[in-house]
Amino acid sequence: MIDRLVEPKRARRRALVWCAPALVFAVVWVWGPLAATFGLSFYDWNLTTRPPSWVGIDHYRDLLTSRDVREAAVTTVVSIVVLAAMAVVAPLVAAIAVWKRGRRLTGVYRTAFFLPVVIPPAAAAVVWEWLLHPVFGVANWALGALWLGPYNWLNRPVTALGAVLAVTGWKSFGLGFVLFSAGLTMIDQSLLDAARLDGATEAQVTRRVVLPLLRPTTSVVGFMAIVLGSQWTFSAVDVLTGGGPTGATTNAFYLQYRYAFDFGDSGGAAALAVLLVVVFGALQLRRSRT
Amino acid sequence: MTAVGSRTRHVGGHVVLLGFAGLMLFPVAWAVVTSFKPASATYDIAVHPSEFTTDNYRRALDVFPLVRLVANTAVFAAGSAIGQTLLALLAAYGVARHHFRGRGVLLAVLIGSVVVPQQVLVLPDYLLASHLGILDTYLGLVLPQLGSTAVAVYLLYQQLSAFPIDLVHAAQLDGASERVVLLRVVLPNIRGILAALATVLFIQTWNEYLWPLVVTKGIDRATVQLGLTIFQTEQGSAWGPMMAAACLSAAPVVVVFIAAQRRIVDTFVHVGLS
Repeated sequence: MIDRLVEPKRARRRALVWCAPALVFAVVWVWGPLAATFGLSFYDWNLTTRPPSWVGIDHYRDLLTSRDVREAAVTTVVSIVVLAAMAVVAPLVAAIAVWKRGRRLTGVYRTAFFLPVVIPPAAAAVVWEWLLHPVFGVANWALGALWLGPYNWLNRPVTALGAVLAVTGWKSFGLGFVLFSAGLTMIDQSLLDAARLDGATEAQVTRRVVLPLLRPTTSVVGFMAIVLGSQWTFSAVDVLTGGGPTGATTNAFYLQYRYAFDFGDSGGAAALAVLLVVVFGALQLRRSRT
Repeated sequence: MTAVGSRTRHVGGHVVLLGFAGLMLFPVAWAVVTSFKPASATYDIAVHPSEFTTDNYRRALDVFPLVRLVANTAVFAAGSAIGQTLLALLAAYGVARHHFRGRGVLLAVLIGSVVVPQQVLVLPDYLLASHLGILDTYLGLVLPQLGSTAVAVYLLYQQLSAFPIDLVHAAQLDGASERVVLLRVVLPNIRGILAALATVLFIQTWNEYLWPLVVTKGIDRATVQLGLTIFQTEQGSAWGPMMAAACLSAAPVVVVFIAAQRRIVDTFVHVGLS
């Protein structure tokens, strides 16, 4: 709706007036704080006593050699890989299956898969804690039926991380599913028919025609799984494990929060925040190029 | 492939998909079932309780100041959703309507913040809120959310860019100002998308956990999500009442979701594909 009748100089002034409220809030609560974080990362400050003191790049050096950070980085990467499977690959398979044979049940599947997306993460985490209860949990009851278990899921490093990722994967599956479903409805059926006429099997049609056409959607869903996924784990970690046992479920975002609010090391927290922005900003830029 | 084989595969596909859908719904169903079981049967595996009771809800409401928590969360979620939608509408209208040098920069400032993980802003926003003396207040909960309008601006900017300029010019011939055009011409045509956007923002804020955790102290301004974790620490082993509390905290968003499912899913898709 570009209005070419307004002369350019006046156009800019008018646009700025319309944008002013949103700009003020974005500068005050996003861009300003981001700049302040960058500045703060060169200072040592415990939020209360003593004014901040300049320490240069010490925080960055400490972070890059810290064991906590290294372990959190490993946990974050593992989380991303597992979430890629649960929030990208699985929804892709399900969306293609429903697209091919969903018919009248399509709406049912969409509701069932999407409901967890809107459930509050804290409520979801509490419910999963009950499912995984070491004595009375339904998960252990199912294991018992197979003459296995009972298992103390949240007290062992591997299964605790598994539980956190299960909650997150459960909550993000539906988003990937509806995005892929939307992508699939935009595919031109005649392309598929042409491939079939040329003698391609259904599997070949899926692999050689459907998947390449879905590439843009896959990149969006993959980006959401990477950038949002590890953030989405926050409430699951906080409610289910508090980052334990022995730090096994502490990812980079949770560690950053603990630096700021548990360790009282706001300079270190700021430096870690800057590193997170750089890493995830770079990922976003790479995506927008492809 | 024979017709019978194809039929079997068709049914088989549905069996697998329905099984999976059941698995996805199971945690929700199990929480609801547990919440209606009498205390003596909480630890039974029976799928349907032998006896249906609302005791758990009564007990949860006794210790869980639900009215207070829901009121807090409603102020937080509605204030943020309405505020974000309004700010985004004004900004998107300004940018979509006018063409000038520096437009790209303006858009980048408005939209670029999507790359900033929300978590990263929690510490500086907390310091700022503390400086402004709005910790543990509704203002402290809502104001920082109003900075995060990037996705809303982008969505509305896309919508308005496609809006026919002829309608705008026709109204202007009748003497309508830019403000009147927005109110009388643009607004009536995008009411649906605005409502859907506000609904999605409402759900997101209702579910928000980290910012309320940091900015509030105790139960006074706590949201339902925080109340749930307070409940968890204090009544950790009372699983029946706990599931009742979890169901109560999720009920409003689930009701909104079921009432406006199509719109909400479409908006999520819009936001995701943009």
